[in-house]
Amino acid sequence: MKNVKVSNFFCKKINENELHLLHSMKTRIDLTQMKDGEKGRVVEIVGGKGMLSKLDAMGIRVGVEIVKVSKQPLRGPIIVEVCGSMVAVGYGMARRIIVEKV
Amino acid sequence: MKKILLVGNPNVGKSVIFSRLTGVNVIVSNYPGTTVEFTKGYMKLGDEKIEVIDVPGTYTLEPTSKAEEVAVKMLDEGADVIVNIVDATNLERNLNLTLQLLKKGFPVVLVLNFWDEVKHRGIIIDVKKLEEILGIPVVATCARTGEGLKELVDRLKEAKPRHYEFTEEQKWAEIGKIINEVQKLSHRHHTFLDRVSEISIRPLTGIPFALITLYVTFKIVRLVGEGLVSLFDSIFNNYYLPFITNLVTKLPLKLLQNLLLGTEAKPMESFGVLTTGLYIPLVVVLPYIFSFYLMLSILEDIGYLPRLAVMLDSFIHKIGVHGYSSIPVLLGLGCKVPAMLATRILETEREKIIAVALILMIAPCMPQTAMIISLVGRYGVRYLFLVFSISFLTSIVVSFLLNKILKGETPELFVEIPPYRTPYIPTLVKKLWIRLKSFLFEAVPLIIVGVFIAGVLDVSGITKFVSNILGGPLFYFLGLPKETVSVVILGFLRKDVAIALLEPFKLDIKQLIVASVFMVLYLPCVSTFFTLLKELGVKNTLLVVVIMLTTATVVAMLLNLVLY
Repeated sequence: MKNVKVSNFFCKKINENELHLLHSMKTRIDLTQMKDGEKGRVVEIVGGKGMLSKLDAMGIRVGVEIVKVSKQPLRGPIIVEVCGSMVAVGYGMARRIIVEKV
Repeated sequence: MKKILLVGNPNVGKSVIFSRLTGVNVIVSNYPGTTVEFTKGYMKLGDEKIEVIDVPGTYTLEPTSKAEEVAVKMLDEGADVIVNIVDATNLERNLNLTLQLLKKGFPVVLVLNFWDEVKHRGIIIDVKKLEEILGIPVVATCARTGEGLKELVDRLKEAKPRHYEFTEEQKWAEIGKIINEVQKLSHRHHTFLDRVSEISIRPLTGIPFALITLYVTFKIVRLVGEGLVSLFDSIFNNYYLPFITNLVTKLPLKLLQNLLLGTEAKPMESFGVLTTGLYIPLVVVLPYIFSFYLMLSILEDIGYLPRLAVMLDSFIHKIGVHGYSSIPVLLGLGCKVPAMLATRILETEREKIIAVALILMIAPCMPQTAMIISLVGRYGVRYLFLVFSISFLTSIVVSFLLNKILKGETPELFVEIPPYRTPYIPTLVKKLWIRLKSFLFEAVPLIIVGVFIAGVLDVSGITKFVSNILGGPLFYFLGLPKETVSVVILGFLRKDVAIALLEPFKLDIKQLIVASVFMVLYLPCVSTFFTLLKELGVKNTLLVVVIMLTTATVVAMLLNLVLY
């Protein structure tokens, strides 16, 4: 798989192996792997401080429950419901939000 | 009390409250050194005249975007009262900002807006309790109906700093505690708008939904735009033109007359400041600006634009622009001027350049499209298709290359998708007026100056001189008659009229295709050029122009070689 492209502004480049490792843990999946309508709890966000605080401001943080609403084709944004509001998250960012199914 | 700031997350009805509090006299300005806009107005409280500022929406005081940076700076400049407006249907996330404001020691009045929706959604909030816990005045409002606004105004003076201490780690736990105490949720009913919302963001239904919405939008824009153009045109030609011609021909100097009225009789083809200079911005562009902004503001206030951005992001991100650029790109299919103004929502210079190049080349503007259809279309639809697909593909290739060449990466889309809401007409009208005013007072003078410069060049014979020089290469490389140079130059003023003026040259279909493609791509029109100058600055505008000229020449040359 090619490198995940995420803006340097928000987070450091993370190692592809690292991501893979995170995903290989059984119950942990990232946002892009969730099915529409599925519910999960955020267990980890892999990213720099900028990305974390950006997500935090929108209510996306470790421990919070998240429902995946839909996704756009061609690695488009993922839409989730969190904290009572709907948020669209770019694909690269969504890859770094790790959830556990509830 | 002298100054009040309205602060809150985006989409909490801040601007409706602003509209309600302030009168007609509203000023929009850019925050110094940025393209972030804010609105300022005044309200009367007894004998006092209080400045009210609608601060750009922010989720946090630790800025994550330019708009948020500006919001924080404006807060730091200080104010007598900070009115923190929150979406009562989404108290938890909104309280994040509230606590941050309190922690910093600002004198805050908390406004729980959308109070009517709270009831519908089965949410019960204990306002008194919230007031006790936070120690600041809390007012429940429904800005659309005006409910609670009087109470808000009455309680402004109660605002005083109250330090609410917590550490960053405790923040959400603290908010959770407050929520537990003041809010109860019962069953939430799905509303009609919720269903529409679902339909419009699922790809399967969302894409057809977007296409239909856009189709209807453009239909209305055209209808309103064309109607106004013909109305303004008849006023201009029947009343203004005879009057001004009569007046100016009384002036002594022939040169002056030529500069003011132009050398041609028709208002669109001369370079007169008082004829063409006014005709282009006011008769040709203004109606479209009006109809576009009308529809844009409606879609914006309903809450459709973020959904559209999300739907189109997957496609548009591949060529280096943010999903949000889809809005200016779509606007540009109608008229490039509002599209250029709309690129303001893009954050980085790089994105702006790519978006501008894309917008200018992806397709001709609506009047030019109409002309191409009438000229090329008579030879068959496939030629039309050829012209439009060449311009479309060229723009994609150019943006793609720019995305590779320009340094940096495109930030990922990350936006809240607000629930659909019915627009509040007075706010809509105010916003429309503000946008029109900025066009009238900022763009129009520049366009007039542009026409004046073109007029000077024409009267002084420089244009003719350049025509003679460029005629040869034009014939040699593009296979077009030398005389079409004058048309090409005129295209800078009016890209659509220029296409129409090709008619007398009796071009064959190949020449017509080459000329059409060339004149779609080669330059922005004078109105767009000067708007662009204002938005991007001299350096980047020239960069875009050079890119366009080069691309147009290369593509037209290739076409001339390939077609037969």
